[in-house]
Amino acid sequence: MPTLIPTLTLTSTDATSDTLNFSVIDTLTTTAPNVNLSQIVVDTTGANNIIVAANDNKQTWVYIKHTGTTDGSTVTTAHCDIEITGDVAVGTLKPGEFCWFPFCGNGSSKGVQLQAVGSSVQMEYAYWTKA
Amino acid sequence: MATTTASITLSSQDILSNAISISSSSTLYHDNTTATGLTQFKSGRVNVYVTGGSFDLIPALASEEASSTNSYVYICNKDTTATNYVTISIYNEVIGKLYAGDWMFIPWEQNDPVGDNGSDNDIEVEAFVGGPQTIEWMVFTESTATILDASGD
Repeated sequence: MPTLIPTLTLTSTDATSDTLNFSVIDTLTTTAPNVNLSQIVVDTTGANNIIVAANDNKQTWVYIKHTGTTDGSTVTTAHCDIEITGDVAVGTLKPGEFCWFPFCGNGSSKGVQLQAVGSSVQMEYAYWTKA
Repeated sequence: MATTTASITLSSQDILSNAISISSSSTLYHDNTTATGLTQFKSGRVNVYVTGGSFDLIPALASEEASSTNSYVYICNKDTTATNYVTISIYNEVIGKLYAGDWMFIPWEQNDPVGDNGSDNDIEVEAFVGGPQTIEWMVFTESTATILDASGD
């Protein structure tokens, strides 16, 4: 089975008295379907921008990044909400930010969608399914 | 003001015909600005037992529920039995399962993930198998209020 290795590093020299230099690594065994790194222009209607199709209990890992542009070149400050289909927000990504989280439909046929706030933004995303 | 940076790398030698390596780095900013200075930070490590119910891992604070402050959350399941997992929820909406060794990093707005400015935006954890499972977490926030629950006595 293909393996994906996600690594997170958090650093700061002044967030705490002791320097923060923290890393965590995981090893994930994946299977189809996977969607490797993709770009999408997200509009302000979440239902138009479903990046993980609704499912009942399929465990996936989702990566999403705000490119900071509307089209790859035009800079924007617009945010983008990350939502479970049905408009339940997980959080908001601002220009340049990324997130990584596990997702499962939890038996209720839910997916993941993106919804720009105010004006369209270009987002990157990918997801991989747990084997 | 404190500057905190988050970086992620996603790599694989065998998901595609060619190896992949996706990297991104982001400074953690205040809401709607590029101002640094997430001056408050909390972290913890808890054992989560199977009880048939969920627990508030990172409660939304009353002082934050009507504001637009920005936070970032890291959660990791430190368990070592591959089939063990916990669910992570926001506002009783299950986001996904963190299996042993898995981690997540998300932006989190305590005020409005469900659009109601309610008091129900806690990040919750529930164990279903095995256990107890050890969960580590961190939260970085720009809040200018005390990020503790008010004492009731």
